[in-house]
Amino acid sequence: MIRNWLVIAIRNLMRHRLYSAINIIGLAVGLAAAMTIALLLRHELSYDNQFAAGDRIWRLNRTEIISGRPPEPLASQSFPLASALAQAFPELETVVRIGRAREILRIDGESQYQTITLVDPAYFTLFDWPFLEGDRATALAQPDRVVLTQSTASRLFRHSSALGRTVEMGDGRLLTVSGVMVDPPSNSSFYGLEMLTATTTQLPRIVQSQEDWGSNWLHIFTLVKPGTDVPALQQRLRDFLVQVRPGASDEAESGFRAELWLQPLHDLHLNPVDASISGRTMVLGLTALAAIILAVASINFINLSTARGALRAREVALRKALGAPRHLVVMQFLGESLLLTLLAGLVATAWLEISFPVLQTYFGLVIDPAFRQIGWVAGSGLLMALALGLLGGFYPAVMLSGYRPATILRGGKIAAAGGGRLRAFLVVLQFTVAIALAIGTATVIAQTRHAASRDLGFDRENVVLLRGLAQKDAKGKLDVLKARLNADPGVIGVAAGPRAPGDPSENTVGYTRREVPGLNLTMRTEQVDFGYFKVLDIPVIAGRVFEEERGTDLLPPEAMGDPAQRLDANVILSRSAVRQLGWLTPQEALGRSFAIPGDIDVRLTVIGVVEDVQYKSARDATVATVYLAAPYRADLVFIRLRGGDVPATVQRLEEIWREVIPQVPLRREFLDQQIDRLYADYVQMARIAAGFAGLAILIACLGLFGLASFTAERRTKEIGIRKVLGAGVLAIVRLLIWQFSRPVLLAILLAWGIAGIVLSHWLAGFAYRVPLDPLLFLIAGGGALVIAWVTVAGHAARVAMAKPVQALRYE
Amino acid sequence: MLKLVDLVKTYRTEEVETTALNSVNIHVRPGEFVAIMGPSGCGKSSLLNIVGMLDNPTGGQYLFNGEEVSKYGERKLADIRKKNIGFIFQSFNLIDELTVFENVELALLYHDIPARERKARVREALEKVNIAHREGHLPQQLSGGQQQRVAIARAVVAKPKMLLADEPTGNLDSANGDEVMRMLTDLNAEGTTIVMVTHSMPHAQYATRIINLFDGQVVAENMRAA
Repeated sequence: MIRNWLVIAIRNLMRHRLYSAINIIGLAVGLAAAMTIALLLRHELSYDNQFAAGDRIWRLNRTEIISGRPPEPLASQSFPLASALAQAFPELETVVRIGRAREILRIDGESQYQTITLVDPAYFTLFDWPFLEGDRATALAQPDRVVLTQSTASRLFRHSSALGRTVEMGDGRLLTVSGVMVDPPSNSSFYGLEMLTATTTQLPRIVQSQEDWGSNWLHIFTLVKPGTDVPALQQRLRDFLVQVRPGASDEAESGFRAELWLQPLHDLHLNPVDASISGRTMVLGLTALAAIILAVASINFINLSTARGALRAREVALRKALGAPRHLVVMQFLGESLLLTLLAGLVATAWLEISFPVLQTYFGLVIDPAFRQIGWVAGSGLLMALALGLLGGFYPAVMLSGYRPATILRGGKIAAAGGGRLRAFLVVLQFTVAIALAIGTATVIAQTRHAASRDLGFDRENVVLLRGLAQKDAKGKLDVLKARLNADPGVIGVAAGPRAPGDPSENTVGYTRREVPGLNLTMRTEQVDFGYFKVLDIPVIAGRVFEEERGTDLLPPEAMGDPAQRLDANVILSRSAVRQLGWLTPQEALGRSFAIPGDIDVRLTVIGVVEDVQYKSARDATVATVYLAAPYRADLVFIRLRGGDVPATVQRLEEIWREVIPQVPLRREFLDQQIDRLYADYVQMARIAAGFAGLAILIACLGLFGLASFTAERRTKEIGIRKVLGAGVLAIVRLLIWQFSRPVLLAILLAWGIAGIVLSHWLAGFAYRVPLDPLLFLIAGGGALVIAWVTVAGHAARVAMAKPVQALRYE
Repeated sequence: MLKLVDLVKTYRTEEVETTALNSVNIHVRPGEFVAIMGPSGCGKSSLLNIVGMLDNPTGGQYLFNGEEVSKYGERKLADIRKKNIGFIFQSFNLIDELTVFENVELALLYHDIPARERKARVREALEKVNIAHREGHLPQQLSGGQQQRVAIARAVVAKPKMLLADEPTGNLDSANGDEVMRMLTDLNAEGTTIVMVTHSMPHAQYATRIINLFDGQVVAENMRAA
């Protein structure tokens, strides 16, 4: 019997090639998409599961609470906090700091930047990465030792063994390689690790910050003792910073407070504290996309199966007349649908194997090849194909097996009308989803563009950044560098600064106005060069900007460091800072003063007000900013170019840097690209959504195509009659197209409603957002309609142009 | 009205070529009522399809009102067809989803006729075949005879010069069959040319001329005294 089923199933596939191809291709595309997503999900959900003690590893985070701003969770901590923590909390078995420093190495006689990860010697007791060379337990027990990852070792030492070799620092110091570990996999929060050294190594970053509670630049991980009551620990930890940190009570006065809390290692990726799109959002979004695509694909499958079912009616009737019980007929049809979905699964697996590298590039995904093991990919494909075959095949099987043999064998009509209503509903559903997805994707992209290109408060075009002025070897070279850069004909202006818009770091300072009791504020504070506002083109609203000729504008270097010294300084405020300090207009603020509180206040006098600047991504509202003139804090120079031949100019600028500061490797960026990077995750999300939305629409259209061909066939008699009565080709095409336009039109209305509601909710999360664009809705709806027309028109025209005698078969 | 000269129709499948009509010559004058008879597979339906311009002949000439139409494309044929020819089928060929009224109206939809006149003409046609009281019914709610009367109403509503009937009584009992034949005779008396294919000798007797077809050829023509 199974042989008979198989023969019939295969002959049916072969005979209705178009129908089979549509079904298999649609299913394969859907399956491939869902398999891709399953792979991504497996990757996302397996993060940081590499460590033996992983369940007991936590990261210490803090939440900064600054009045006038939303609380901000952060992962960075200060160096001294770790030791204080280890002493105060016996339930912490080990406390490990992980920081990063960009150091200069001499490699093959050339200075190169190398990111070195600084860790406490106990690091490997938490993170037990497998070692290829050396002994994990002692590798970092002493200073001036480094552990390399495998790829770094082969980059630095080619193919020879790295153990015992040395790397030379920019200042001539030698670090000895004491171990080679595996590269962290792509599903690790530590992906990209290159070189580790102990915090006992005297690197400038460590020396500077050893006693500095104000500089938060490293992560603190801890191994909690087994059996610890973590909630109770969290409770005690919360205000620990206030207790141990010097000056914390003064800060509290200026409206600044930080709370500590522990986050489990396994949660780091799904709930990142500092990324704008969390892994969880990604996981949920991807799961939804996979479900949608599979649903759209299986709708096709159900629609085509039930539609074709009428053609199989005679076979069913005959089988039943010959005594086949219904459940055997059900099994036969289920078997056929399984055959179809398994074929599709095969196609999908092959397709995924071939195309995944391309997808990876397009989506900007980093996923180790290990995740693409054929066994797992094929397994997931098989599983989904099975599920799809059973779920999608169930309804058609039950429907087809329900035919009453007597009616059919007598030559009576088959009641396909009931199925027709279901089909119409499913088509509406498919197109609703596809159109809504398209609108959603377009809006996400529009919002991303808008956020990236909106008025940032400065002109981001044609600005080059050269970084690295904080390096030791660059000290004292700023003035020469600026003079040389300014002399270049392609340069309009040059200004130094501590950080660029879009950089993650931020400097905040507490302020007060003594004449307004209780007014304590913490505000972003930028220590800038004299030309800063001109070079970045930040509009001045009132007063003036800093002028080098007036010695009084410069903030003396001692001011921020030595509280014993009484100081006066001039400041510039951003528009929002004026408001926060309690003045009504920029004009009113001019000449007024406020203070940095301390044993002796630093008195600040407002000389100018500038427009607010968007230093971070558009998710954050513009923050109030205080500007001080302190070019000696610079780490980079902004260079505004005249435009024109930019590549040649940039090349000259790089040459100047190499001549003036040969010891420091060049790091050059464009400001606009730096800003774009802020939105890279949105662009990635938009691309993924766009890709899958496109697939959903494609699959839906495949289904419509199949259904149209079927309907055109089924309505042959009616069309024949109409033609005999004088209907022209156009009239027939119009008739068929209108029939298929109706569900799509309904879907458009539904999709508009859904997309409108969901998107306005999503957009509400942005400080600066695009309005919902009616044109976008029209284009998505119109596009779907046109695609549907094109899909159906071919069939309609073919049927309409056929000789009526072919259409009108005589019974 | 129509003149077929050496008309040939062959059907070709992958392997075999079948000749359905082999050098057929027929001349039908306006106002005639012609019955075509012959056994199954003799080419009756092929002939009617070509006469009705639902299909093109493989060879020979087809003059309709003096116009050579055998090489015309579908668009042009459709135009001539809707202005001149009405069809009646053995299996009625009513559209299941449309009511009696809508089925008849369908024949006028493809002519440029204002809605009001269209409705009036549909009513008139329905009354002529005594089915007006069922105009809101769907075809499957009617008996076979009633359905064929609707089909006749649909065939004549556009006032064609020629009516083609393909075994119009084949699916009907004798009482209903006679009724349909009386209607055709009345229509012929009003001036409509009729070409009818039939198996039934008694019904063929209603015609003014009988043409016998065998193996794709005309084997006999009998004029009846009108």
